[in-house]
Amino acid sequence: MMLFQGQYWFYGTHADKVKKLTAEFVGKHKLFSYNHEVYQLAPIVGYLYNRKAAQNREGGSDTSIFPDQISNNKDVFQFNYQLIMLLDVNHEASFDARVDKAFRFYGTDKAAMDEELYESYVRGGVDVLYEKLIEPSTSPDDYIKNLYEFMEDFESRHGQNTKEIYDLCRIARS
Amino acid sequence: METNIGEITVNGVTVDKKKADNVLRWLIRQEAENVRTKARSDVQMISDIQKNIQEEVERR
Amino acid sequence: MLLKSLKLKDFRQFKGEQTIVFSDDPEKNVTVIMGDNGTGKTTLAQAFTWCLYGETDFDDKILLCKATLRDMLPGQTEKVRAELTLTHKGTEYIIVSEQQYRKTDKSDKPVEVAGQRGFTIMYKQGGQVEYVKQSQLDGRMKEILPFELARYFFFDGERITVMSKRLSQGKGDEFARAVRSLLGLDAFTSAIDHLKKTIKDYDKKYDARSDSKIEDYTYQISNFEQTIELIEMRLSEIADEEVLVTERIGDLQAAIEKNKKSEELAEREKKLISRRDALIVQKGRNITGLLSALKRAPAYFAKKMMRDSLQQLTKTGKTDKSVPFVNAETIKYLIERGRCICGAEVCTGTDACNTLTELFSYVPPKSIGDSIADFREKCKERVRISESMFDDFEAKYADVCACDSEYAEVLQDIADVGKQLLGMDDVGKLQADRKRYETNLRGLHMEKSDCERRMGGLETECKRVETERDKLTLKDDNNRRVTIYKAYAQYMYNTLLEQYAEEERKIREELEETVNDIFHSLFDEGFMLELSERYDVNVILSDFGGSSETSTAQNISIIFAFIAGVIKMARESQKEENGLLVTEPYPFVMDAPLSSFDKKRIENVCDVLPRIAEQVIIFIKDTDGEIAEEHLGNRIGRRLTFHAPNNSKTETYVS
Repeated sequence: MMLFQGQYWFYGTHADKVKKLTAEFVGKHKLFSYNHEVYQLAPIVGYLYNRKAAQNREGGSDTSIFPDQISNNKDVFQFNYQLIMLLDVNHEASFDARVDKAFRFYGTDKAAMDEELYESYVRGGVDVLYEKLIEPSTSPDDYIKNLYEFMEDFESRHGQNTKEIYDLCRIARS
Repeated sequence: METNIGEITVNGVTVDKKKADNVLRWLIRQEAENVRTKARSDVQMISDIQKNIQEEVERR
Repeated sequence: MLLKSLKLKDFRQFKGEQTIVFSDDPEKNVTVIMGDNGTGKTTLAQAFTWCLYGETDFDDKILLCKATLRDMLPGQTEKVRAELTLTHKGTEYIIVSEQQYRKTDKSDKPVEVAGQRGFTIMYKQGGQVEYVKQSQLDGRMKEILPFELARYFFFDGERITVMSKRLSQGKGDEFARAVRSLLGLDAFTSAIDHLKKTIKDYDKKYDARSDSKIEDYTYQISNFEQTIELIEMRLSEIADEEVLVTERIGDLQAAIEKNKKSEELAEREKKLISRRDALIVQKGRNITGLLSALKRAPAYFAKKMMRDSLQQLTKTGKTDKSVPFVNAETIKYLIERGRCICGAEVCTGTDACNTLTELFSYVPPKSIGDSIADFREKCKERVRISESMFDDFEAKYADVCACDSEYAEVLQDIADVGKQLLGMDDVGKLQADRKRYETNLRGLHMEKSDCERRMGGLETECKRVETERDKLTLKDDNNRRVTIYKAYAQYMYNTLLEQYAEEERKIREELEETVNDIFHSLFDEGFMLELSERYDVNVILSDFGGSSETSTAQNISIIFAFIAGVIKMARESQKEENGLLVTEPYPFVMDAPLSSFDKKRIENVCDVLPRIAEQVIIFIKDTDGEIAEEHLGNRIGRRLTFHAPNNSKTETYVS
């Protein structure tokens, strides 16, 4: 399977949750305007919260991302994939191997397990986003509040020094 | 407007003031009594007035 | 007219047969009837009017004594009777009213009226009792005491409020009517009326055969007169409407003043609602801003991961080892050529060759160096995107919260204002109503002007036609005669009208003077009354005056002085028997006004009254009894008391 090519489908309970994440919660406001926005964030969230999920076909509804939207945002999807491959030590202990997974084997036959890993993080991330943003919200004001708390929680844990990243990039060049 | 003493013109007709006053005096007396006794009705009063005027005008 | 006695049978609280005898002594002409509220003072005043006219003001028109009713059996009947004995113009009259009632067995209507009121007037003539003929009853009553006047001589203290109101509007047209008939101008008005009709009747006597033109004119004139009459009627209606509308405008104005505050509140409410709506829009915008910041979330969330992966890449030295623009093809070419770019020899097995071969791993397409470089660029780019993401997000969230809290405040304010407004009339509506009425009034004024103008035009036209007709009629003998007679009648009419107007003016002025005299002898504050042609009452404060008089007390004083004035003038004019105006004095029956006056007033009233009226019958509360004694003592000819046994509301006895 070649990731990030052609139409992408969400199935079962995850499709359900994606639909809810992209629904209007008040006025004309949506947390996520398109499915691909969910797909951009979910794998990161899934990895950071260390949540994986298996695919299921429960319920009857599916939902998808169209090919043109996939190709428009392919660079982000790919970037996310590379990040996960580089960092997931449970999946691969050796750093060099991880580097290969991220840069060399991406898109080849050798990537089957990796892609499976990536997808399970996607689904896990969908679950987390749903649990944090949709489930506890009953009134329109709740959505905003829960969203803020979700963000604020992350900021307090991982409030990153942007400068550090710039420095690291510079060093590498030399 | 008075042309002779005791004569007045009303609607282009000459009226003898003395005669008119006679009738008037009779009328008031009659009316005062009528207020009390209610003897003569409206119609009858009108008729009485006309008779009186005619009589007064015709006599010398 | 002198009242001698009133005999009542089962009339309201007066159970059984009870007689009240009045004092007719010329010196001691005051009869005092004492009784507390509820014992029947008002009832007694009403007994007069019922006896004479069959009219009462009671809500309950059943006059039968309730105590008597209680003792009756179903089917049984009882009569209510009132017999008033009086003298009028030297003749003694006995006036009787009777009404029969039947007790029923129905619980919702225990008593019903049985038959019509029986009304009889008897008089003594030459030792005999004569009955006034049925057909002449109304006329005789009119002569003895016209109904319109009765209300003024049986002075119902409880109707002061109503009359007071009329006075505060400056209206005295009831007085006008009453005065005219009281002062004996009836003969005048009657004569004027008859003459007018006579003149009209002459028109019918014109012999139309002699000249069809005359008939034509007569017809035209008749039409004119009809139309004029209609217009006059309409003008009268308009006048009445104007009064009502003006009054209503006044009321609305007062209400608007009172509720001016609500206008301010309504303004505030509008502003608050506008702010609330603006806040809602603003919140929407803030949320949109918030959510658009969220678009950068993927980059933001990945920051830690980017840092970690970059760190690891740097640590293990997996950095760019690639050579720009050198790819596998280049190296293959160099190896096959056997010579490097710098010129060094490249043979299999040499260091140079090994180094180059190693490079294969780092140059595209095999190398990942570029990919890593790309990755780093991507990291830089993503970081740049997400740099301010959280700050923006947080700031927008703060805005949303601020918006929310202001919103909550505004909602509360709106609720508060709303609550306040609830208790108030909507000034906007009141003003709209007033505007409507004002427009209405303007319309009426315009219609009035229009009517008057039309009437003027019609009258002129009519006169012109009449003149034309008169010219024609003079030519014909019969018609000539009619014209002459008509001229006489016209002259008489004009003369009387003038004289009448003159007489009325004299009397009105005299009345105004008399009233002011009495007024000042009763109340020495700086008031003066003005009586207009239409008998409108205007109260003027004189220079040295102004007082703390309430308008109620003021109006009572005016009513009082006015009636006293009328009575006084009526008595004085009795001396002019040969005059054209014939009239006679009346008694004054007064229902408990003392409680409305202060002490000084009462003194004055008690002093002046008996001198003005030939006979004074006064109802007072027990508590006022001492005052009455103190001031009227030597004029009191009779004292009576009403008492209700055991504070009964249904039985009163006179002693």
